[in-house]
Amino acid sequence: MERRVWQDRGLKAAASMRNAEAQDAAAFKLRSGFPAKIR
Amino acid sequence: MRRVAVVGAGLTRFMRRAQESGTELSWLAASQALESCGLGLKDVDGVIVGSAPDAFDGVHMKGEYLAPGIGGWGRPVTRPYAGGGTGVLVPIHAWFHVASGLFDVCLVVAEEKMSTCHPHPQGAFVTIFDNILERPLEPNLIWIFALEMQRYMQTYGITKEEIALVSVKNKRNALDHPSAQVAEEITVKDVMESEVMVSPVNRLDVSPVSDGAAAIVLVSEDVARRLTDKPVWLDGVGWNLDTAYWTNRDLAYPAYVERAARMAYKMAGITEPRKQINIVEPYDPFSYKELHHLEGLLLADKGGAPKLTADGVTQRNGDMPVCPSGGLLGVGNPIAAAGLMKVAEIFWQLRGEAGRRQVPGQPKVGLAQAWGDLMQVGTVVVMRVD
Repeated sequence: MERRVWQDRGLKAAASMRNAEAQDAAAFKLRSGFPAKIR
Repeated sequence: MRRVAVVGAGLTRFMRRAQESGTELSWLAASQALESCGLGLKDVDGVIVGSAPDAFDGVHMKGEYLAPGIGGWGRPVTRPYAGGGTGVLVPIHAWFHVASGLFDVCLVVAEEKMSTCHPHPQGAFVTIFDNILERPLEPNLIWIFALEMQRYMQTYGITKEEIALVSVKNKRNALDHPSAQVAEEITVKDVMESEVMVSPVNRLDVSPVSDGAAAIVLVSEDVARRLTDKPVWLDGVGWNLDTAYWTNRDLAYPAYVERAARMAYKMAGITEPRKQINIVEPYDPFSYKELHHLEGLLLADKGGAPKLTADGVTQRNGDMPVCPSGGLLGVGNPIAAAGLMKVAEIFWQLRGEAGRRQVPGQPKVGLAQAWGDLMQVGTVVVMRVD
């Protein structure tokens, strides 16, 4: 049971991180002309 | 003492990242900095690495953790620390090593990866205050900033609208920065109507949570002359601590920043900072802090910085451009990396390599400053081109 709870929390945290990254990455795409070298 | 020059710089995007580790971010910035000046890891005598509290990344012994990304293995590595002031403290420490003759080439890296940290980085702040006198009040970070901002406004009769102009300016400047996380065209009204965090601090008065890394390369004069015809000299360094008890400080004026600035000015031969310094990157994690720091740096009268902002003096095309990068409010705030980003910005601006962010008029002398720790440390560098 406890393991299940931690797995659920882990999956939610990972989804939240991926969402945050996707939001910020989308903001970069909106502004064009950036040097490709900068990651 | 030998003269010390910055000859290369590198920067990652500042954004929330799910994939890269802090070590990988450090490698991106460090390798870019070395490549920019035609050097390789084999040329590096030593490395200075900076990161704000370990708790921000959720990794203890960060210097060791970051070592593979900063070229640290098999080399002398030092990790100096002054909280948020670390980003400008790391080039100061590198300066010691090169000016003293110990190293000819020193790689300086600063990194922070806060977005994925559990528990939340704010958790670190529960433990920084005095455990008898202050912790029972349950202060958090924004709570303390709200007190300071309120005190600043009350002492000099400054309005929130005047302070909001800093956010408007910096977020607009950041539209031209390739690493910027929260660049946007906003108005004073947008700032005033954004969510109240702790009155009088609103959401758009605050820099975002970011992940990122910055790096620069410091070398001795003879190496600089061989590598480039555009060295940027690190001619003055200063740092200063005030009391850690926020109840015992003058919250309306950052005296510690003034003491750090005076130390750097004396070393750099700056006697009239308002005339001699062309371009400034003060630390701006909160909108009022840019104003606070301009006054501490003796670049504005006490309580006079809001007027400079309102009059356009601090715009990129003004008489004294302030945060032409977009600052922490626009580019983002991976804490230690954000301070070093400011040093890198002055480096690019003085070399005329800042692209769309370039201030007009070929600036010759620039200043970068950071602040932090228990909100009572100031770190300052003065940079110059021939």
